[in-house]
Amino acid sequence: MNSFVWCLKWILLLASVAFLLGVPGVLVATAQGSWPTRLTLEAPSEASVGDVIEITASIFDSEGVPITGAPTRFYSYAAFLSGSTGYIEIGEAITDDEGVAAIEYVPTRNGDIEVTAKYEGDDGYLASQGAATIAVDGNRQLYEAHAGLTVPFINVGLLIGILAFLWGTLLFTGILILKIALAPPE
Amino acid sequence: MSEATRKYSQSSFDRSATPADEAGERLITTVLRPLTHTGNTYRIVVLVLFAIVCWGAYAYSVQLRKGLVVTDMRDHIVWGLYIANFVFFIGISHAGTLISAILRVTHAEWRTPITRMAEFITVVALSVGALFPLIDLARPDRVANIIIYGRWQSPIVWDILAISTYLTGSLIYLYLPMIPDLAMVRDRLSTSMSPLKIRFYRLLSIGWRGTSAQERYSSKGIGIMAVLIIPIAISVHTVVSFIFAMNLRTGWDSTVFGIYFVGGAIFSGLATLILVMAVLRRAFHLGEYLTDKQFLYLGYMLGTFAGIMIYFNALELLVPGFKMEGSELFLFRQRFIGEYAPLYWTYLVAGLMIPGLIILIPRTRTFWGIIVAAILVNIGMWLERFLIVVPTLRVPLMAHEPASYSPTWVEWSIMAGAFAAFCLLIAVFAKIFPVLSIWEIKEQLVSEQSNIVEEV
Repeated sequence: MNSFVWCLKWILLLASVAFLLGVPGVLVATAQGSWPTRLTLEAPSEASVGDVIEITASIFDSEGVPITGAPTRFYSYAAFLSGSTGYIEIGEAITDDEGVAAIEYVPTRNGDIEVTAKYEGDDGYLASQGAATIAVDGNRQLYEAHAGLTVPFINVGLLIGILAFLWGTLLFTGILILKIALAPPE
Repeated sequence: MSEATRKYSQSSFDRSATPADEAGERLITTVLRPLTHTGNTYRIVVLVLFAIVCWGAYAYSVQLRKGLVVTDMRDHIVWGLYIANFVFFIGISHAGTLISAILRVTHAEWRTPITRMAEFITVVALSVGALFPLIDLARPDRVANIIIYGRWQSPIVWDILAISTYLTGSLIYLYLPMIPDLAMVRDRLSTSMSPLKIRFYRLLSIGWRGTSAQERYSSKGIGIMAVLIIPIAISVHTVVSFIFAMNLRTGWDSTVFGIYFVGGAIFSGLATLILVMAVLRRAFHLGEYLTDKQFLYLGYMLGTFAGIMIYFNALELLVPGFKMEGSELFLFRQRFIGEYAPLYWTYLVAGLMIPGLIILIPRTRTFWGIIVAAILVNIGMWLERFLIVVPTLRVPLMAHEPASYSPTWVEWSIMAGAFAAFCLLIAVFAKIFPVLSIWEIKEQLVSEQSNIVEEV
């Protein structure tokens, strides 16, 4: 009887330790499978600032079978004024029946932009990623303020009109001075 | 001598025996005398003023070399003496053109001896005042970027447009009525001046002979400018107020700032005009033309504007003070009982109330009383500009200790240089151009004599 109780205590103790150590580990650990995957990223090689371009990531397993429903994140590489560099997330999509995840992207600066797509993997598949470079040109102003109300005639045009009237009158007075200088003797 | 020239000479300078002509001759001699005679006192004054301007220029060179760190402006109190002086000088520029134009449009005859000085104060004050935003820049070499990359929606761009329009208009409005007087200098003083000076006056008088066509063009131009300059002048100080009022900061977020600034500008402009008139009257013996009557009438205007400013201040205090929203309490406390209380009470009592009382009480409403009132108004209005800029910026927008600001020697020196430059330019002007509008006063003398003859 004692040995039975002793065994039971040890079993409970070990079970508790297993629960405390093992279960959280199971919850936290990423369940990643063993099947390798391949991600192919496609993006236009050239674009202009402000263009809407499509970036697609195609994910297949090692046998070329498309992986469906795979969450895919897209990043662009950037350098900041402070001197630090890093990846900025530019979108997220889930692969369709053909294993393709697509996002629309608007480049906001010119130069070579490196775009990366990442698939983190799941229970059955390993993670994979792909990259592409887009040569972006142009310097279009993308920010347009749309604050407040738009009232007809009360805008910058009115200001320019008032200025034109004032400077036109000043010019007219200048012409009068010129006429004084050129007036013939009586 | 052509017929037209003979007619002009006869109408302007005929030495016939009528009292009006005698008075006119005396007027011409008195007004043109400073152009050919220079006293030692004048030389000393100009030398002292020039030395102060040089000292200010040296202080600015220090700032250019070491940057704005030589001032006490930092990240919280980003505007200090420079912007306060900018607002003050733009304010006193209303002395001239606006007051002169209003009086001209309303045919106030007593205005004739003061218009020229008033118009010149405008041009000088605008020129000096417009320098302060440039002095306030850490990188003045980039000032063109305000134009190149400026946006129509920016109050800073509005400021540039308004001030440049006002300066151009004021220059035309100063020059146009001066042409007949410049011609008079050309004709009268040609024997007592150097060839260079003669060429200078010949160039500026653009061949004025007083023909009917020239008089018609001149009269038309002056009429247009007198009307046009009034809205321009009002717009200038309204727009200057916008650099404050167009943001949400406690103390600046006000809908009455435009009219409050215009009122203050005319108020300080009148005070400056009175002081400049008093100095020039003394220096150039112009007592016959700048009589106590002119000072008294300007004093009435000063008293009226003291009342208007008291009313504006009451509005500015009562409305936000009644609501006491957010950080208003901090602003009110530092103005009334805190760090800036001495300056604020000086402004309210000495800058507004005492000048108003001086004009209101008949016993103190004398020449010297008006001069004292004008001095107090100028001191008060300068303090007001400082109090609008600095204590307001001191109100913390986040949870930090209030910043402090105490101007450095560089800031004080540049300010002294600017005030000296203002006085120096007026002194130089008075040596080059007739300080009174001779032809207008002469016309008035003739008109007065005609009235007397008719009455007799």
